[in-house]
Amino acid sequence: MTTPKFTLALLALIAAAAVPWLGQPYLTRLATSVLILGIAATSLNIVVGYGGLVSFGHAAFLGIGAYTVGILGLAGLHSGFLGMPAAVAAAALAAFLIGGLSLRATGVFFIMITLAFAQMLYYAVIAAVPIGGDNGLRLDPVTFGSRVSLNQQTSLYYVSLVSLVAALYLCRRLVLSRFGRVLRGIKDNERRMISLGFFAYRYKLAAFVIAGGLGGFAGALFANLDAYASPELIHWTMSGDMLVMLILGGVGTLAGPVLGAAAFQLLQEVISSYTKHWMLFFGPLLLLIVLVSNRGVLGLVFREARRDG
Amino acid sequence: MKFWQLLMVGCGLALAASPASAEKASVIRIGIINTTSGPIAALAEEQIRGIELAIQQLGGKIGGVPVEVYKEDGRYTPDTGLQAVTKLVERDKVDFLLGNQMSNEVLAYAKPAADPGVFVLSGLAGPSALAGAQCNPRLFVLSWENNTPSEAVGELMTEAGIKRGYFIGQNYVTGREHVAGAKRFFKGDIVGEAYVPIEHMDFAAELAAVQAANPDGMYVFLPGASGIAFVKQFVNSGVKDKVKLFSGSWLADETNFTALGDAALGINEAANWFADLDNPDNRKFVEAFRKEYGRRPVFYAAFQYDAVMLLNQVVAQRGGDISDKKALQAALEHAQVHSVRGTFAFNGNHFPIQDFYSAEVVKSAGMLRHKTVSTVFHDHKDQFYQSCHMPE
Amino acid sequence: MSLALLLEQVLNGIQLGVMLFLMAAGLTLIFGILNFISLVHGSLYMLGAFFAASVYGWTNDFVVSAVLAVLGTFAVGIVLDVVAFRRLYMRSHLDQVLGTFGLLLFFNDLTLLIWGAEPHFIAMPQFLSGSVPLVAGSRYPIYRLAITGAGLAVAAALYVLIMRVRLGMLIRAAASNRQMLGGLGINVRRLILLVFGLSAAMAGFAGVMTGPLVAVQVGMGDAILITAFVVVVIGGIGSVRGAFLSALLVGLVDTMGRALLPHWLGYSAGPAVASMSIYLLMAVVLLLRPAGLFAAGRA
Repeated sequence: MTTPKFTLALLALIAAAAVPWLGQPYLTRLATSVLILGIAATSLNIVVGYGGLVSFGHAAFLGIGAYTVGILGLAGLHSGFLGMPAAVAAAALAAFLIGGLSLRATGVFFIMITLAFAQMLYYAVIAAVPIGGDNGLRLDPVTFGSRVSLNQQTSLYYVSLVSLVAALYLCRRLVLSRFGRVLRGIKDNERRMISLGFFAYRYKLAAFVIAGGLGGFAGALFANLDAYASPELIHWTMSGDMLVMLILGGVGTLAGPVLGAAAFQLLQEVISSYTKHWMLFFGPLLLLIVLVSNRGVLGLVFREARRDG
Repeated sequence: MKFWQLLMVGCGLALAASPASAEKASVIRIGIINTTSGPIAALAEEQIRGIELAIQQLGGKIGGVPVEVYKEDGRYTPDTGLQAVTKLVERDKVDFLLGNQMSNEVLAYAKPAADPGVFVLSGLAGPSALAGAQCNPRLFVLSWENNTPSEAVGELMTEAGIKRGYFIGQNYVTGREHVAGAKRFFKGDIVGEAYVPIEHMDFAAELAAVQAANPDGMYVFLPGASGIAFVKQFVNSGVKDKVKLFSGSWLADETNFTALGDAALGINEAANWFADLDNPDNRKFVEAFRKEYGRRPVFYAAFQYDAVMLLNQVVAQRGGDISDKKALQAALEHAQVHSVRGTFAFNGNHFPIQDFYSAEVVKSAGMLRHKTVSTVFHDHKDQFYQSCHMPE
Repeated sequence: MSLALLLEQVLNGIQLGVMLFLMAAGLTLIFGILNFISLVHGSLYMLGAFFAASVYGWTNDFVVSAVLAVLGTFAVGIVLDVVAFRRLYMRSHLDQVLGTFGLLLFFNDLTLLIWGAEPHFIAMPQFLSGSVPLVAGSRYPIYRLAITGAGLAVAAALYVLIMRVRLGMLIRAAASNRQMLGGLGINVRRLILLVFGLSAAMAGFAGVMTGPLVAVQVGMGDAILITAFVVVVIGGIGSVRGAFLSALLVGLVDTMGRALLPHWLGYSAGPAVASMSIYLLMAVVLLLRPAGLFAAGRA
């Protein structure tokens, strides 16, 4: 990372760490949701930005993560040491199954089939009365030992912040690794990579599973934020929202998803405080951003050539 | 401008004595949480009309205390609902939360809102979980427990002499609760049931199945646009001549009479309030609503009007003091609510013990309206209150 | 299930299929020719219904309302192409999905602003309301037969257009190789405009025809949009014939699923699986034939 970027990132981190000290619970809650959305968008970026696979069903993994925490809660298991890894594992497993089937298709078929799986999960969850059906599932936030409980707003905030930094670090290592380079090679020219002897399918599937697991983690954090697991987390509009965040911030960059998540929440807040018809402005704004640049806000600000971000 | 108000309030509170003494509040903040965007916005707007009309009638004061109103859009998902409620509770510091339209949202935010001391008065949502094990000391429901209006419809069907009943509901928790409630009080034969997805609009398949099952009466729980679609298709399928249609008052009311047209005639409904109920409070309410908004009100407005009037009654009783939450809770619990539906009281789980009436949709002076026919239930209680052990 | 009921459900499935075809045909055409994914056709369906509702409020004449509404959506389609989509055609699918998603949100809110939140009213034309006797004492609504008929007529007209008329030949050529066509001196730009307008008009027509059956309200196009995409994917991108057959298939599977599954699986699992049935169908088709059932030779 270049020095100015590093300084910027450090400043951002310090600013973020200071938020709970402002003593504004509503602001802290908003910031926490931005952090968690940032993790979710980052996970989606792995498949969309680096893998070139437009997944319209990513919300499914968030939902699986959230409901894992909820179901464990129903069984009386409130430990974060169990709940969070379980959420990641469940989501990763689902990603393995869904990705395994979906990646046999390409292009728009892939988009549709990921949408289909997410919709099926949505209907299944709504019909599942023991876990609340469409009313969702109330749960108690998890605890890590006796000291840290995600019931506390500040604890949840810092856990989310640390998780986001860790997720970004993971992403960066992934992208710079051999795996990441092969993946991006597949995104650019799959046929060439195959002719070079790479099993494109396996790389894409691996990326899909990693993205799914990270998405599950974000979903689990959401469940703690709301003390609730809701099927609306799985709805296709949630997947759509995450794609919007990516395009707002810049697809295929490291900080893009986080900036996009922040921009998305901020825009919603600002516009809807003026008018309840916020989509009237947001819709065309989105179209405009898409038309102007798919490097998003980040691309407009840092006019760099294609790099790893 | 808000800063100066806050400053005034802050000074006022600072100058006041300790919280234990009965101090008249200088302002009452009301938060309205419902979904004003998207397809169900019409219901939310009706709720807001009820609230604003009541406040206007009271001269902008509740119990003699000036009122500030804050509105947030829950956007019909629990997550955004929670976010919106957090805004109202933490940032706007509301004392009372009105609206509360969606059961799934209320289940998510009832406790987080009530814990800091906010009273939640639900104008519509009445999920059974909150009537039973999850009952909350600062949650009061002004509408009904979700099963009860349909229990009334089931009873009505029995009283109307229906022998073979068919039941259709939307396939979500509240929808299934409604159908279950209707079936429970229907004493005839249940010849079929169907559950359709929430956005479902084309009932060709369901109506064909109804024809084949040959009932003489059918119950539907299809709120909103689905209901309109169903009634229109019902009338055109030829089923209408052989089967009587029963539902709660939401199937055909002033918000959709125009859309339904004459298709609405003859629908039998049961509810705890109809616009033509003859009592002084209701006459006053309906007349004021008609003058302000150009038509008769619908129950979403009625229950919110009740909520504001109830607050007025209770706060006036407390001399304008809303700081003693326990006393306020007790006042609400023991209140004789002078509602537009008559007088009722709250059960131990803070849900109403109320009457249910039946009505038919008729045409008078060229306009469709409800005509109340009989009383179906007297002082009806929900069947969950025994699971409620109200915490201290 | 009795014969009468079976026959009715089959008719219902066909009717739903024909309506889906109107949406899917437009989508598959623009995807085939322009490689363009549009999420805005649900909004065009909705606008068709709203235009008809408004005109009906002024004229009380269903036919006039229908004609004007279809022309209206055609015009909206043209405007969208010129103003917004022209630059979107050469972009990635992600950009197209997001751009049109933004317009979907915009139109939902615009409709809310202009027409309000309460549902609107188009009356069924008198000569089409009521029912006719079917088999064994059951009756079937005339209007549904009328919709099916109208949809089939449009399908036939589309077939003639694409297969027989010179314009159709140009459209098929554009689907294969747009640049070559331009090089031959054909005004491809105008052709694209026409195709897009046509797809919009068909979506609007579907909305107008369905309007009297259901409630005309904000967001009514969202559900049918997803289903239309499922139809397009099953049928094979770019194949109008594929879209027709797959639309009928999806319509029948959905209808029969809702009719039969609750009986086989009970009232809890049945309706849930019925909601999923078309997605399950799509998943199965794609796993066996990854390019759809009647792929027009292009991914």
